[in-house]
Amino acid sequence: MKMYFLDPTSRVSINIRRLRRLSFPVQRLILSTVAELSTLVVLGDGSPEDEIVGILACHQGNKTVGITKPEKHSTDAFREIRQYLKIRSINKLLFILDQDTSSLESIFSTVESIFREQGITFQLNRTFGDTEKVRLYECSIGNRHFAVITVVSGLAEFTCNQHMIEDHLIMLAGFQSGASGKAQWQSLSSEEKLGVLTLLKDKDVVEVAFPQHYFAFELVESDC
Amino acid sequence: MIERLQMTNFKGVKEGSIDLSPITILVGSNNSAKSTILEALFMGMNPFRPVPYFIPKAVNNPSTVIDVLSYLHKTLDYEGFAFLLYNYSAKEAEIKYVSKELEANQSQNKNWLKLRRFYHKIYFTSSNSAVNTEKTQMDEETIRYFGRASMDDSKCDVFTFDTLLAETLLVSPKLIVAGYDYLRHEWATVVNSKIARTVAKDISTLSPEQYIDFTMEPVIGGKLDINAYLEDGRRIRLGDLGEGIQSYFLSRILFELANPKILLWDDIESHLNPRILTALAEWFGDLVKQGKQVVISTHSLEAARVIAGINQEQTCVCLSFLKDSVLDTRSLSIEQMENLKTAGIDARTTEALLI
Repeated sequence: MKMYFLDPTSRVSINIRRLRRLSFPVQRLILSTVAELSTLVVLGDGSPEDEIVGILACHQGNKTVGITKPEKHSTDAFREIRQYLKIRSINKLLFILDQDTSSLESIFSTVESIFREQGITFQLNRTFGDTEKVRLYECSIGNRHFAVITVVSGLAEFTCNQHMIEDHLIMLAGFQSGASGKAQWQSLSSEEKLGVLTLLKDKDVVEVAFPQHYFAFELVESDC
Repeated sequence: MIERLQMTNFKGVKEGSIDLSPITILVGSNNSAKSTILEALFMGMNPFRPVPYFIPKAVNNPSTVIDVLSYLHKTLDYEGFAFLLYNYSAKEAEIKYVSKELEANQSQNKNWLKLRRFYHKIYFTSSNSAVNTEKTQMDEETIRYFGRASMDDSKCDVFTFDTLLAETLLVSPKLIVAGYDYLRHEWATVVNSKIARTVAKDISTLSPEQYIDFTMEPVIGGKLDINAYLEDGRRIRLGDLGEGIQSYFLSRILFELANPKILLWDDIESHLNPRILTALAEWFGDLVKQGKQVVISTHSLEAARVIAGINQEQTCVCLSFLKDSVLDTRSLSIEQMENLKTAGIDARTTEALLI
């Protein structure tokens, strides 16, 4: 997947570019100009979400996506949809956010109430199989139609009270439970973290470790 | 005031136009025609008029607009004026300056400048037919012109030094040395006017040092040096002051000497700290009150925000970009730019994608 950063000097851009130190081929996947952009990946929580997105992009096809991280966090990121629609030709938005301490129902209910607040007409198009952590909404504002894919990070298999994208990484490191995936990930040394990230060079490992993200990225690649 | 600038086959712009405000801030990525817009305005109908710069080895000194442009575009092994034409080879380029105010007493409000290539020369023709005193046969057409520049070297033939449109002055970090050299040659004018003293007083408000005057003094070797005089009697060479102060000083002095109606400033953020930037923003506001116009380019959102914020009613922030060499521009308010930034979109680099 080709990546185009809407803010080239942002932390997100820097963190993804730094993946080259682990020999991920990000350099050849990062575009400095694009004529058209149909899909935007919006990070609700920042890092290490950005690195995971960079790694996922390395394992996908040739579609070009914009990548951005708004100042607003988590579900509040959905409040920026109208700004993103100022980009000509955007018709698909993929939001990635941590589950944190909320239930999935409460997260999606918040998302839907933000849609209403923003004057976005929506219809839940699909939830996906055994993961309820990905939802696809068909949305519109006036005659502008677009899809919103929402991915909630976190693994129920990792026993903790606060589910985040770090759950996926820390399980890969061999942990099954803890106070939170984030705290445990932060307690690892730099070398240990790099060791885990390096495992993600294997596409099959990525697919297993980040099932909902991998699935959502495949949706982005497809014409859902 | 020039309300609109239209260009065809000028430098890297095949065609395009831009609407201008009392203060216009051009924002965009590299190669988005910001400098081309400033240079088209700098030409101001007569690229052969003198401006307050001394370009090394220029044919005319004080140099003319075209000498300055040639200096800015000179490459190691090339110094002709071909860069003025799209793809270095367009047969004809045209710049139109739309100004109701300047031409209120004439039937037309469009002033144009045409550059026509014929063999290895570029011929300059003005909409002001009175100045087109020379004529030449070009294929089967006789054309009248007022100046001629070579495609291969820096030679020009000039038949009028008249100002044909509102005088414009280009300030650029690349022209600092040429500006200094001009001051060295015009030191008597500067010393004997109150300009330097006024500017020194202004600069004192931006610096911990209190300057009372700038003056020129001979140094060993017979050269003249520009010195800042301090309240406590000390003096410091201008070249030893911070680059921001030097830049500010030079621009203010050159502006006062040239007294142009339109100030053009390329890469305004260069060397300027926020305090000087704020002072400049206020100065621009004062210039507009005096009926002058300001057009600047910047890569800095901070600079755009400060200047547009202080002069909100008079300012337009304009995103410029080139698509297939066609210039496109979009006006954005600072609020819109900041909202995009909050959403994680840098308008300066995504200009071509924005609606």
